[in-house]
Amino acid sequence: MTTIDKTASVPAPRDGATHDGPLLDVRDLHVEFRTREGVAKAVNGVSYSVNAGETLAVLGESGSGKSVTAQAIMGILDTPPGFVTKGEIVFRGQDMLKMSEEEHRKVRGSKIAMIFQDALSSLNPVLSVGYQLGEMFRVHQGLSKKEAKVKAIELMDRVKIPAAAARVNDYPHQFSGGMRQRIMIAMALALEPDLIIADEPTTALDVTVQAQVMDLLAELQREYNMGLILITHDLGVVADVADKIAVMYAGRIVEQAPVHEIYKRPAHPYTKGLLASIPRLDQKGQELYAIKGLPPNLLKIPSGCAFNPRCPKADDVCRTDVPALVPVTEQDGTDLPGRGSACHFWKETIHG
Amino acid sequence: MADLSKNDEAVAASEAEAVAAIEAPVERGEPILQVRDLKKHFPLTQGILFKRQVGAVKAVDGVSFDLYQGETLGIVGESGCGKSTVAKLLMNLERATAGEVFYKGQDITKLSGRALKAVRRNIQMVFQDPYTSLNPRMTVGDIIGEPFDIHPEVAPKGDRRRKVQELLDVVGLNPEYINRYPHQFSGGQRQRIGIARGLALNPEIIICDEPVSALDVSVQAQVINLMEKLQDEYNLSYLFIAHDLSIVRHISDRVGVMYLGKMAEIGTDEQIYEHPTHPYTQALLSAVPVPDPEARAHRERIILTGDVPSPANPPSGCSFRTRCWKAQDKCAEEIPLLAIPEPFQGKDTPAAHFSACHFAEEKNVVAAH
Repeated sequence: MTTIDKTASVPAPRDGATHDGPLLDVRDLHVEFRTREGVAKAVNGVSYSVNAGETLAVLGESGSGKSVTAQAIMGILDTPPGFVTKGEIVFRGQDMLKMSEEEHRKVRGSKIAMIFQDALSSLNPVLSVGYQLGEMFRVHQGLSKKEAKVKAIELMDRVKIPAAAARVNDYPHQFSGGMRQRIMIAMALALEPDLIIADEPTTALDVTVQAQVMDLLAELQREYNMGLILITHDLGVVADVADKIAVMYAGRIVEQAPVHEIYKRPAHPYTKGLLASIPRLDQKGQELYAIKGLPPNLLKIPSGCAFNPRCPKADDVCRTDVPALVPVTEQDGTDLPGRGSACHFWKETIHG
Repeated sequence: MADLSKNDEAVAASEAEAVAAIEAPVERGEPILQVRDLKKHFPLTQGILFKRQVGAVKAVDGVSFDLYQGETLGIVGESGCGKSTVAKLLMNLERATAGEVFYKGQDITKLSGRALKAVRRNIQMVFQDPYTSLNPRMTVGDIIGEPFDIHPEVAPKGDRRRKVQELLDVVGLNPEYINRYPHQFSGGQRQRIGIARGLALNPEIIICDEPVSALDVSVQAQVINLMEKLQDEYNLSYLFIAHDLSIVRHISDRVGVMYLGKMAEIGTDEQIYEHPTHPYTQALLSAVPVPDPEARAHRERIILTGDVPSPANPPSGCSFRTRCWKAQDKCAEEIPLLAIPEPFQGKDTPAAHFSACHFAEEKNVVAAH
């Protein structure tokens, strides 16, 4: 019970112990990696929030900072070389960046859990899956080995692994890719957290298995009313499960919107380009639109808008001024709730 | 001795004949590659000193298809269905257990020596992972020029540097990069280097094994467009292996769906995507996420249960029956043949294409737009 006393004495919780804001609120987060080649600015002022029961999809290419943000939230950033230089990560009214390592550990796993992309390399190959699942209960709840194993079997049942009791002593390599990802989900669910961060949970899986795993995740989310941050590069998966979307590019959020809006009317040229560049199953198109050029090197992010060298709309102002994430409105000025775009020319992009 | 030399002469003569056949051009629309009942079984052995075979992984188990000149044939399927093994067999990197692969009428599984070398010049490959398929200690110039060491007749020694620079230009890279190393390039650029190497010998067929799956979304479109441009320019035939059904539809003229070492269904892209008759194809298509949240509500999704069975111990009869919602006793007893299903025979509908199912029935799972 010392844990509760400790968390209560954390200095200056933002809106008191009982809070009614969003579950997780990331505010102006900056992360940089100090390497021999220079300072790579991986995250440059990211703000987003997730409510209970809500799914936020963070969409971006490799190097956009989507995974680094998640690592900062979980407090598993490799330091050095990675450093959080600015910002707040407010979870249930408390800034996690101000917590001690000990307090952080109490939150990690029991309140916020993470599902990693590659289940085979995330699981320990020399320990049975039952032992690894039980570890959550042994460490966080102090259960005995025997009790933990019973709990592990229950969990495996809950994520629909057939013959759970018989397979609890099997090792990770004895499971198929989809089953391993279910074990990862079970591990994240073990302590019934309030928030799950899933980093590319289905990228390594086949489509039929991907559909099974995403369905399971959605079902469990509904059951426990959890918040979910889904990190992905797949616009298709996002369309299927997300409530709202944040699109990241070079460490910034360039556009955010409710899921239905963004596919209909993107308000940033990058989002627009991405949507046009993916072939669709239900259409046989002509030549694909390709965004020219390459994602920027984080050691030397272009001045002004980071997307300007690849943007068809780029103007002088884009090369000098960094566009802020501003609210997007209808042509007549009516609010579009939840929408924002970091483009100098968002009006032309969405209405033009 | 006399007999032997006579034998040698006969071999040389038949080899020259084969080479001549291989170098003859093929008309557009004619089959350039014909695969017949191709099989590859990898033995499973037990014991250290006296290895005995205890079974076989039937990676490819009787696959037949034609590749026509100038077309793109897409091959889709889940991991472990044998699509990459098919690619290796066509390249003759693995010896087939049984079956034939006819390239312009010559069975390449039986060729050797000069004739095989001529075939290999004409069938090139682009690999999946541009990070591991390029030697990190060779410069880009050496990587793209290496095929010329093996086939010097394509580019004489003094001409190679210019030829490599030309190739770099063709795939959209700066020709001045010739002395750089692979690590100095991004993933998309590396895949372009891989494509340039594949083009070096002016092949007729390029086998692409998951050429864009390791690339970022915005870069995938660039590489796909490049491949389509090169196909028109050099009149190439592609065998395009991928697990991403949307990309396969975009680039392919015809599509084959593989399951557990067998071809489940094959047809034109319209036949497969809009009129699939095999339950596996239908399930596969319905599982693909469509980037359109409006479609969420009115899409029927077929969620398969379980995983792909082990190819070392495939189910009897139809190999898909363990996950199929239509399976009946007949499916366990009889292996369905790849043919036009009975209800559609002789009818002029897009559903009349090759499908290996006893209970084939048309079902549109992709919402049409």
